[in-house]
Amino acid sequence: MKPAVPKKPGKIETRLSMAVLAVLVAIGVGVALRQFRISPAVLALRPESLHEEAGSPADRAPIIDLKESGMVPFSPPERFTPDTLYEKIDGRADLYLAAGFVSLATQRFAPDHAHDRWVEVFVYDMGTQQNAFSVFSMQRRETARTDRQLPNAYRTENALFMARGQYYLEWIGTDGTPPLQEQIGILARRFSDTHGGADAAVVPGGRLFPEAGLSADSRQLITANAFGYEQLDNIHTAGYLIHGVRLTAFVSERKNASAAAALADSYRQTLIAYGADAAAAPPAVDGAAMLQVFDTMEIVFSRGNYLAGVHEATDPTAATILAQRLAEHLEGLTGPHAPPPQEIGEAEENKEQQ
Amino acid sequence: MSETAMDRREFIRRCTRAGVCVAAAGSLGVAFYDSRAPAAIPGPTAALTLPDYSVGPLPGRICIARGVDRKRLVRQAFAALGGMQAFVNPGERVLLKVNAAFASPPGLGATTHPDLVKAVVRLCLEAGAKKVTVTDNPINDPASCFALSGIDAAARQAGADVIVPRQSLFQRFSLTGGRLVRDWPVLAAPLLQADRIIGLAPVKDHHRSGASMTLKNWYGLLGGRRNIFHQDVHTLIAELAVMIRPTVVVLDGTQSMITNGPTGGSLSDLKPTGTLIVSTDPVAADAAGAALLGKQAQDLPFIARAEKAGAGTTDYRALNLKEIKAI
Repeated sequence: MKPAVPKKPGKIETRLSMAVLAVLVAIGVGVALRQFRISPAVLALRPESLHEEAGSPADRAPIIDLKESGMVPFSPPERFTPDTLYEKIDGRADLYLAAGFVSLATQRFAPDHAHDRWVEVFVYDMGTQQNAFSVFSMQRRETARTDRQLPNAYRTENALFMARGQYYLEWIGTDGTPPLQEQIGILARRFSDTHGGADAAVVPGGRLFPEAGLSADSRQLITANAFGYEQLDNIHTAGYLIHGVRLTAFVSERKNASAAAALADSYRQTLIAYGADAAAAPPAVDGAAMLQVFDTMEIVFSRGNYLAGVHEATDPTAATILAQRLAEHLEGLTGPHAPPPQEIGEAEENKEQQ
Repeated sequence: MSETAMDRREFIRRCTRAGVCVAAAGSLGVAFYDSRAPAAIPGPTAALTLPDYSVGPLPGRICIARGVDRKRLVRQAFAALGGMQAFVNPGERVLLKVNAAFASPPGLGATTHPDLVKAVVRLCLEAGAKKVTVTDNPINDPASCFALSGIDAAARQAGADVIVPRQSLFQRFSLTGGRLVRDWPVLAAPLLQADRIIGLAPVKDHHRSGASMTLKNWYGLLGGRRNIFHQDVHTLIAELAVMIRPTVVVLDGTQSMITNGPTGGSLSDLKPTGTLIVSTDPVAADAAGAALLGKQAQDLPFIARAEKAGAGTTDYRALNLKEIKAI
């Protein structure tokens, strides 16, 4: 009897089989290769990965020039990336990450032969001067005193905080003893000398606010999620004292006038959605809305490319005065005699800090 | 093309070959199949059960002590609650879970103060504890954290052992009903070797959770890249409150870190708040401690979630509340 199927397969059948086998082999090779590259997420869960980067010996040189400081390294340098920043500062890492954090280098130094006291320096590379100023300003201690010898720097009893170019630095001493604090000053000046940056204090966005009533050292830059509203980013704020009332003004430059107006409206609608009520008497500022949020007032408006307003005011009269001044000031920035756009928001000398 | 009849022998031969191929492929698949996920930590994956360390079915107790000297405060607060012997029986092994998260000096308030550690170790030993150990899993280098915070020296001077975490001390743990604490490395060995657990936490502002007090302190029992829990930190803290049923907690608010927490850095971040709270109910302790940060319990969602999860009560005044002024 003739066999139903020829013993020798046809050419097409052979080629098809070879193709199927080739695909299977490729899959097998792929699986074999893949098993040697475990997901980073799985590796990250392993405790041994916890301090891997923190203790990296890649660069053991001191992170600060110690010449003539009388200090010696008290611990090896540590370096952190956006992925590992939390290992150093835990939940506070969010503040830096939101502001554009790039890297952190830290190290402890102690006076020679005195290892019961030390200073730990934190050098945050924030990528830009604006970002550095943002974290510097948002953490400014209320009782701090401006350092007269270092621009954009303030001191507390045991520490010195400064912004220098794209860097934000913290110099944390174990105590407030004068010798240690003096040595911190020497190290900070050494860093300034070797890392460039402006010799005068710089405040990004400084020209956005009118001078009348402005509280010294009160300017802040909130890079993300300002006032708890996600769409409010790159918001400059400044403190004012008007008729004895403390107020906070805010300004943000947007892409164009329509974007500023749209954001103002969006913010207003969001506040209303969360229970704010329109104030009975609107402020005497064109296009501005005044909303009552619990027991405070929020004024919001736009002028040209700028979103602006007064945040959490307790006195509607004082808030209206500030809103009027702010609107007039911003009109001056957007009018025919306005300075070139590149100067607006640019770093400027803050005379109050000198 | 004309169909021809199948040769039986050929049919059987081909079927056999096909069957062998399928069986071989299947066998290879079975041989390479790993039914377990890649281990988060090496070692056994046996189910871990954590004991309940609480003092039993007694109603919750809390003492709010006012003063400035930690040693006096904690001694007198425990005395007001019946003494340390009300919590620790002779011959028991006591674990003190401190907050040693940062390698910062004790004066900055980012870690449990060594004076408090020393005082509580001594109280435990006076109550007849067979052994007292102190531990935490800091996110900074552990040895540096214990040394520079002063906790290591204080604990050893008072007669306790210090357990610095290492890989072999962790085991994977899943919280029954938990959503986040699932198959996660936990600093298990010190927990399993203890009969009693006392949490010692400072009062701190916390950028992410709003506050770090006794409930947040259990975060330090987790291993791995636990920062991923920051996305839902309130739920995580509530789960930790269910995971650890402590014997008693001590919340140190003699100085509270009001701003820039949890690391602080400046003495100006601290405010003298002159309060130390001892409680068998960590939820109650944190609810009372919130006021030291100028907040109310409802401002801190993790407190309400911990209460809802059955870890305690926010109504600390409903407990057997003692308020004393340390002398």
